[in-house]
Amino acid sequence: MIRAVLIDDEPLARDIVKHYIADYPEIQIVGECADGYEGLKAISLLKPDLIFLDIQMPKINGFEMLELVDEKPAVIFATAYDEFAIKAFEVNAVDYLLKPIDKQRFDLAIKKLPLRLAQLDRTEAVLDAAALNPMQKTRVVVKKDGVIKIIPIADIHYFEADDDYVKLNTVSGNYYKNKTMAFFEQTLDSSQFIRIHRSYIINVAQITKIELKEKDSYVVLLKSDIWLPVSKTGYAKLKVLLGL
Amino acid sequence: MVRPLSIPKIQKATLATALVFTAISLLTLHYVVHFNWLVSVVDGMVNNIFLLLACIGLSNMMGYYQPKKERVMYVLSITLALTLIIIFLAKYLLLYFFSSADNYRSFYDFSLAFRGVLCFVFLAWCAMANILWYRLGEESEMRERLFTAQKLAKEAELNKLRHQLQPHFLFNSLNSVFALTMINPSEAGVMITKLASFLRGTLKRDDDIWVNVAEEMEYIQLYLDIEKVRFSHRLNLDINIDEDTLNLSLPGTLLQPIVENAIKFGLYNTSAKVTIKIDVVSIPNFLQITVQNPFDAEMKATGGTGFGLTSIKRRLYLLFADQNLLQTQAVDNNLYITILKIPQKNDQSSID
Repeated sequence: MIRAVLIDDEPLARDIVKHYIADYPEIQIVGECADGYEGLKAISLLKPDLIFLDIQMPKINGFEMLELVDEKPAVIFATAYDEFAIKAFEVNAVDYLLKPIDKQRFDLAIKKLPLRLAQLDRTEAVLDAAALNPMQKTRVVVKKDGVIKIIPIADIHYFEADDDYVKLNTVSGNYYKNKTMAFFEQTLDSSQFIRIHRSYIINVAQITKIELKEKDSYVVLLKSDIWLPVSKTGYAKLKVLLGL
Repeated sequence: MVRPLSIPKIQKATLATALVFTAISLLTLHYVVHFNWLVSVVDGMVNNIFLLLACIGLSNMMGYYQPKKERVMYVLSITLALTLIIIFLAKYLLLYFFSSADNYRSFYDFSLAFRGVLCFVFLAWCAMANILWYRLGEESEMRERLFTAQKLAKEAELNKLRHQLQPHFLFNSLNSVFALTMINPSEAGVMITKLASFLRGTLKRDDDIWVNVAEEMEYIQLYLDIEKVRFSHRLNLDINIDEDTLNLSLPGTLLQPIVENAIKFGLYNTSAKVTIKIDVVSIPNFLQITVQNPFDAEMKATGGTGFGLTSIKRRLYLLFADQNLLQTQAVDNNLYITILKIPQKNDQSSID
């Protein structure tokens, strides 16, 4: 038995999937959710094997929701129109359905319902690719003590490498995100955020001064009164960006 | 524009020409007129160095400034002035050096006119080459500008079309219709006709076309009806249109994006029940449309840039030269009010 959860903000869109799944007695729908928050709750509570996930939803979108799921189920994405999302799917060969959803296409997706592990990597790749969408660059969604926070990118002072996580130092405190520094370096707007050191990406708007510590070694002072080291290449990047 | 003398190839050619010219002059002075080497070399060098400096100066000057009209007169007078300066400067300098050589002085006086003509012709040629250079540069620059402008216009047109079609709305609506064909076929038929009417209305809309309130509100109603099918369980509409506004009119491209914005922030961005309220009233000299939608303060900060409304403000300004026709305010951090005012002239025929 495959246990599935439907996550889509439009009831009629969920109805189609339900209608199609009726042909598959081995798939049981255990939950229906109308936004990402509900989706997260249902996933952690019901631990489904499979989710049908819409991209454009209220509050947090499908990608942002999935980023916050620790044990990811198999995912079949569904979207009506989102150039970036579709590109991300195609590149990473994760299964996705375009709305209106065609029955034959749906059957195909179910038939090749991927082996969990193989798909997991590809889902991660989709999330990374989707984060390159300019719409996604305006905020970061994090979870702390079971509460979901949407952090506007401008509220982040700096990113700090911390083992397998990246620590976000923000106006409202510190948060952890299960991503790499390279991921943030790549997805953030490079005129706004700059990697000054192996372990630090700073918000340029937060810089108050840059000082020479010793020969060839600089430090930067942020508005939040924190000194961070600047590597040689980091200083070169700062120089270009600030026109020094 | 790129200066001709900043290009290495031209720098080399200029230097080569100057050297050849100098060589010819001093060889002529030595072998034809039979002056000694010292006199020949100094005379040839002094004259030609002055000429080279004048050419470089001329070229740079034309890079700074060229008159739009009377270009030829301008160039000729400058060339003439430079020629006189070179000729007399060279003469006094050389005769100062070689004042003792009597035959040199008489030769110089004799050859002065010839030197002048040669110098003038050379400078004029140099000036013409520069004019031609800048003229060609201007032309290719203009072509490039025109090309870029055309490309931008085409892109803008495409974007406008894409926006008009609202693919996200369209495909989601199609998906809803599709679901209805299976669940509730008669409702599906109604929805398809509404979608068709809405699209027809979208396609014929243009900034220049004014529509009356009755027609515009019918169009808006279609749009909201379709959204209501998609989100029936949580979208509530409260639309009030004053009788006396029905014959007033407005440009057919302004209200829909405002309502769309209200839907985007009020409906798409929350999963709660929402009420979208639209009031159409007539106030002295204006038609006033108020759109109210709830919004999530936290989402507003991270979500949209209000781009839709900025472009409407700009268009309103272009149409009426008034910055205050679109006003927005947030009430109690959860209600967003957009007020659109359309000036009404008493003589309706003048705006139709």
